[in-house]
Amino acid sequence: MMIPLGDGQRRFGFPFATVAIIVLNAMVFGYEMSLLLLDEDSFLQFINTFGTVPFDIIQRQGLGALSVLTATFVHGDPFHILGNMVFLWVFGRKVEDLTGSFNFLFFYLLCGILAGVASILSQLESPRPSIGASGAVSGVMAAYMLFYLRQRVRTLIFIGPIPIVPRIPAGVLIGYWLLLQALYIELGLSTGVDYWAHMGGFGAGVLLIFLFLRQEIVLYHPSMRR
Amino acid sequence: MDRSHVSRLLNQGIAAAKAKQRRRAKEYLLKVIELDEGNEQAWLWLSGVMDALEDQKICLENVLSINPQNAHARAGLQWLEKLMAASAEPSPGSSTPCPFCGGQNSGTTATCRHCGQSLLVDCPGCDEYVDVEERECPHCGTVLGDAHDEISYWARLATAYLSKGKPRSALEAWQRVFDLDSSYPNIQVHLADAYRAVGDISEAIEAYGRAMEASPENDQPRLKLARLYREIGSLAKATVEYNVVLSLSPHSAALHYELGTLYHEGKDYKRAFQAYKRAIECDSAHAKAHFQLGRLYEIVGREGQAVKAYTRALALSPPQAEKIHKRLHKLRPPIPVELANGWPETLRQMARIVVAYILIALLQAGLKPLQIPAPSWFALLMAVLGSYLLVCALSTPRNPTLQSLLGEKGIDSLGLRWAVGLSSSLVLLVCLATIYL
Repeated sequence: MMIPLGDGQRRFGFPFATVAIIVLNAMVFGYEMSLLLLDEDSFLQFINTFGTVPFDIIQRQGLGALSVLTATFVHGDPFHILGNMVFLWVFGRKVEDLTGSFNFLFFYLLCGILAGVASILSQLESPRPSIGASGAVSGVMAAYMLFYLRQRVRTLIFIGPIPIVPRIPAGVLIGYWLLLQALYIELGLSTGVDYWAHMGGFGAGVLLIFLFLRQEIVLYHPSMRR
Repeated sequence: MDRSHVSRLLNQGIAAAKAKQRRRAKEYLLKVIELDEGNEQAWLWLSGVMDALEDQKICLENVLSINPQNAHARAGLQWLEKLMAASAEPSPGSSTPCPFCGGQNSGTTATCRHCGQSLLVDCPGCDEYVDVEERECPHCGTVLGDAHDEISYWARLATAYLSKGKPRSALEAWQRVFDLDSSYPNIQVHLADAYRAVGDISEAIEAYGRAMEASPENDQPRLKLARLYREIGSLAKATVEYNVVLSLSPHSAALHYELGTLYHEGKDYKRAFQAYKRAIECDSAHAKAHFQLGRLYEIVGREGQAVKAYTRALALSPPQAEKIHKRLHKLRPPIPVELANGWPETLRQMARIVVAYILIALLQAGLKPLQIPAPSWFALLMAVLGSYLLVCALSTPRNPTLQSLLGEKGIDSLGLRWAVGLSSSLVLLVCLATIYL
């Protein structure tokens, strides 16, 4: 298991959008946990209402497109949200540098929507809700990899019980992660993780990031992207 | 006779003589002679600080009586005898009385042979030698003052010499002031400044030290010492002194700025950041601090922050505005208007909005494009128009199409941009509602 911890300094100001997304996710998760503590049924209903349920989308029931958006902010357990937010913090800030805060938020949500679409297409009649920010975060990772391929990222790796923190190029780290997703899809592993959403989100990131870059980066990219 | 005491007095006398502190040197050397009449060195140095030629001769003769082989004394005596012969008889019709002691001197002599006072003074304004009795230079009009008021006279001259780039003359003048009145206000600071100007750094440092001892509450000598240390490259010592001065004047933006530039020079960027920021806290209009902060941000790779800092500096209309502009343009080259407002850029930005709308329409139709209802198709078309107008309002107000419709400026005025932006946002909201509902 590899957990990214951080890379170098940011170029621009405070990462407002990244922080806002993390805070919003935390607030929603807090609410979910309060529901779970009060009544498990309410919690499950919440998940079903605000998660992406492929069957509901195809049948045009429930919240429709909105549920694909809300699913990005709903998480099932603490490790789920923690994992996603750690990845978002590490990779999101530098991508926010490239796009600006408002555009980053827009990009993040769009990647989340496309990840939801990929998830729906992979299991059209499924009544199981798909939740989590991992599709959107995968899009952010894709953008990061495209622009900071050689950036070294401090990564926590456990070799047995022994933790080590080497600095691994982003291309290697994210490439390895992508390979695992493809492998899991190929092997048809069912671990409760929506790998198609990850792939969908990653593809969305690759395709869409160019639309969201700051104007000066697009028009003067060699000097502005350092 | 305590040899070590005599030796100490002799060394002090020699040091004072080298520093042209004649009175002090005389005091020390005479004490040495009182304790040790046969001290050759004391007599030799004393000859150099005595005013009257006769006294100088006596001293040199005493040296030779102690050590007949002393070459310096022999040469000095020969020179003195020539000088005394030349000035012994003032030529008839050309003698002038000394304005200080009344003694007669030849018309061309620069120093009174009786009391040793200067009879001619180097005008600080024009390099001509002027009679000491002149209150104003007859050549250039520089005010010299009343030579009878010796202390003020020499103090004024010293200040003038320093300002006119004659540090050595300034040093001699200040030393004269010190000889006349060692408690003259800030005399040690003046001496230190003069030593510094002639390049005698060690003496300058000592003099600043004496000034600090004399008035510990005055931070000027310490500040000057800090600047001197900085000049000679002793950055660590300079930092210490700056920090002491700052502890006395913690709200001085100028001092924080100076300290910041010192740290900057020494590549201690973290402390430089803190110092510049404190300078800005003390004076938000300190353009130089903003500029230097920008340079630091550039060095550490935080270009966005650098741009902000440069922009703030420029807003304060600093004298180095051109330099700041150059750095800003290097970081953020101005984008040509045609490129920034052209169709490729407009379409790129429109695509964000249009893609989102298409996805929402698809999802609402259950991912079946053919089942998208007609109102949603219409809403999508309107969304394309709405996104075009919104992008133009936000980013590309001089889009070529708008320019052809409305002139070169397109919608590039604040009022128009607001109007178009708000109305297009409304259109997009309506389209979204149509698609969703």
